[in-house]
Amino acid sequence: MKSLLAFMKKEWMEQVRSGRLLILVIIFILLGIMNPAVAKLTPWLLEMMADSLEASGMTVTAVTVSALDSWVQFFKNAPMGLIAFILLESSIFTKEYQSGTLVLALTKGLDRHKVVISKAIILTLFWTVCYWFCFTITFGYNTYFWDNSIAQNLFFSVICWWLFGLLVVALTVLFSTLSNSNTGVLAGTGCTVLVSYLIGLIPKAKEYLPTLLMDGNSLIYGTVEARSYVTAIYITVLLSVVCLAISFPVFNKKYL
Amino acid sequence: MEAIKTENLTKYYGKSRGVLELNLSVEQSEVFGFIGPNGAGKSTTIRTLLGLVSPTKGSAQIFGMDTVKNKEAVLQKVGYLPSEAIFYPGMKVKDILKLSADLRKKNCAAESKSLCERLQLDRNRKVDELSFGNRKKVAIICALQHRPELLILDEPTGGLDPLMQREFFEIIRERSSQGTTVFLSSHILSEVQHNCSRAAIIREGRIIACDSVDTLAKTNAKRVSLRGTVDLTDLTGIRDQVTVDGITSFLFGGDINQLLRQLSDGNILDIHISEPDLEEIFLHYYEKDGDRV
Repeated sequence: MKSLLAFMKKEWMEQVRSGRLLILVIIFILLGIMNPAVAKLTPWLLEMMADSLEASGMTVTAVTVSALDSWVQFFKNAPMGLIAFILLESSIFTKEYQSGTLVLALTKGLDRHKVVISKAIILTLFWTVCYWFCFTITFGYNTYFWDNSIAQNLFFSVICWWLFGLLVVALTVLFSTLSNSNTGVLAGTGCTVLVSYLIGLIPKAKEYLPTLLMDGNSLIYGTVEARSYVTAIYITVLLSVVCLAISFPVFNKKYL
Repeated sequence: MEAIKTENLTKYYGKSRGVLELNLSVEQSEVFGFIGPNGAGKSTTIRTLLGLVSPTKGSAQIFGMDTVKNKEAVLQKVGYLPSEAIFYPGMKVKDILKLSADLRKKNCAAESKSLCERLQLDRNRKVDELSFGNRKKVAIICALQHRPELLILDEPTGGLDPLMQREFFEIIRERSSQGTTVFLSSHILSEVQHNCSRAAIIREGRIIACDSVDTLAKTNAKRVSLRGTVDLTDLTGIRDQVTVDGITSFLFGGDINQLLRQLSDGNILDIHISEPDLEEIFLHYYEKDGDRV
């Protein structure tokens, strides 16, 4: 346990020193502010554009916005946050392969599975903190400006998106043990999500796929029931566990 | 029980050869030299001993424990000094030493402080600001601070100034006298000759010689340096013949009587006949077929 904590402390310090943690926090704070800001500014923007829109045959009437518009914006911006997160953290293993620093830790008796565990914990922790930080900021502004209660299944929908993020974290860990380069990690993670998205275009398959969890809008508008997401949640959790479980033997056999 | 024992240790990286049927035995408390050029298989041997790679065939044992099956227990007894001193950037020396001790689940504060003083290393500086020599000192302390029973040193003195090299080998001798086994892999043959009791020479993945350093250095060959004029064309057993500033030098492994007869026919002003040093022996082993002179 002592060696695991020591390695996790090293990971934490590295994230802080490299500035990656700060950049992530800033990105997610900005996204958190942008969600209500875009909703709040929408009427003003439309008013500004009214003349040009009228010239093209569109009439702008009085626009009213609510907390729902801000939450729609939240689910639009969440993928941006996740992409930024993965771009910044995809090198968490590969950087060590390239510099040879992992050999130093492993030759001091650190178990290989502890390397995977500590990096997976750090990624999960950072994703959780950043994501819920963004949510809290949006929630706070929405409470101040509007009424959050009109959004149905709000907490359930944001938990679904957070779970999808956890699957992407698990995929990043898996592809980091399989590939030696950043490009390999990003390509592997991106392609897996893309394949899931493309299969999701088949209506019958959609409810079984993790990408369904990204559709928070249908939940907050109440157009679908929360229980229709349950299968996708189970599959997402199962896939996350499977990805991590495969990472251990793969990393154990990795040539460093 | 041997500190290190390998039996038919073979490692292939795909189709590339790492080491081939390596049989090595290092006794406890011994300072053992491991000599070979780049690509000969030194690093693969060390990586296998450290459990970083699994053998394709054969086995490696440290203190009787298999390096694959008992990796954790083996590494607790080993101190490894890599040839390149690479550390996590942005960390202070004391943080690296603490991390190294924590990964071993040991408190090495006192030993670490003492070694820093002996090697004149500032614990409060960041590793990024250190010269290669000073980074090497950090790596040395990381390898020594937990008082391992076996030290695996890969090119240990690279970057160290002569005074620090002397201090380093002084520490190694102290540790050896206290029972620590030392496995020293080096290109610097004088280092092996002065500090090791036995040595092995590895070539193209195979051990081609393994004996006491004295025995390895004792071949039938003699280094002959002479000033004057003598016809050596008919003499067999001559190698590495060079003439610089009127002094002709060569390694002779033929009939000594024939050499003396040939020399007596010439006009010799001065002559010096000596045992070849380990470097010459090493180069000899790296001749085309590796046969002794």
